[in-house]
Amino acid sequence: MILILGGFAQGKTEYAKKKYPERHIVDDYAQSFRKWLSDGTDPEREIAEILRKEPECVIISDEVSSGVIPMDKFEREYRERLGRSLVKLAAEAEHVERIFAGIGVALK
Amino acid sequence: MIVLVIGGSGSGKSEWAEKRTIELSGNDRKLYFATMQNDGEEAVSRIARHREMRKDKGFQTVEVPFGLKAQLKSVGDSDTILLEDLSNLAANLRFWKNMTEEEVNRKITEEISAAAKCSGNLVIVSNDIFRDGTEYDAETARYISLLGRLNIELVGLANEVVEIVAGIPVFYKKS
Repeated sequence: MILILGGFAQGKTEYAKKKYPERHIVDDYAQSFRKWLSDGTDPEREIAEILRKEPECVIISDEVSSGVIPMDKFEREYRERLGRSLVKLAAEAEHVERIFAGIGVALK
Repeated sequence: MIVLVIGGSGSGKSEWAEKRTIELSGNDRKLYFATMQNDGEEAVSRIARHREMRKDKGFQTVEVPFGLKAQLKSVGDSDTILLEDLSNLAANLRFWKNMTEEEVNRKITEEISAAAKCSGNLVIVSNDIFRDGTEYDAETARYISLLGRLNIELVGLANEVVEIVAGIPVFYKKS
């Protein structure tokens, strides 16, 4: 699995499609994570299931954790849990890349 | 040696800073300078999580929610201090002690310089709260500026500056 991180609108998806055309792409991980969490679905189990089916996939996620700790409990939990999930995915990934204005920087 | 570790929430910065502290300390004493106040359910569970992480790693915990100065006389020159974290310390001084931004800035930079002088190594955890695009109220915006300014000043003092992204260190300064 390959993990791609970056801010909003940084060209992450285009980058991934161009660089890894043969791989299954799991886009908008941060948004999916939020939806699972608000639906009461366990996000960690969801992504584990996706990885079981598509172990060679490319996971694309926004970086959302660089703000003041939110007053809202759900928002706090979302950021914290997504962050921890990304730490885990990064540890398991073959490569981790961060996209800045369309340019990939290898983190791992 | 001063190491400044910066990351967002859930970035793995605590774990990385702890690992770096253990590396730097060798067989010498490790002091965990804790800044969080025990003021609510989430704080309690967060403190419990961090204590669990440090358990059996030989850290001695020192509570410093309102400043380091009083605790520095018991620090030895071979000790490695892990200070976690700068944003709590700044918020405690600003909002609980009602100090001005300038006073907080001066107090923290002075105390960190003093802590670095009397110890062997100082590892400081700080937060990246600068890029979420949210428009905050004036008070919060001033707090964000205060922390940004503190990070910049500490970068000047630090030998090593590292951002943690999904648990991965990205070095900006390394001596």
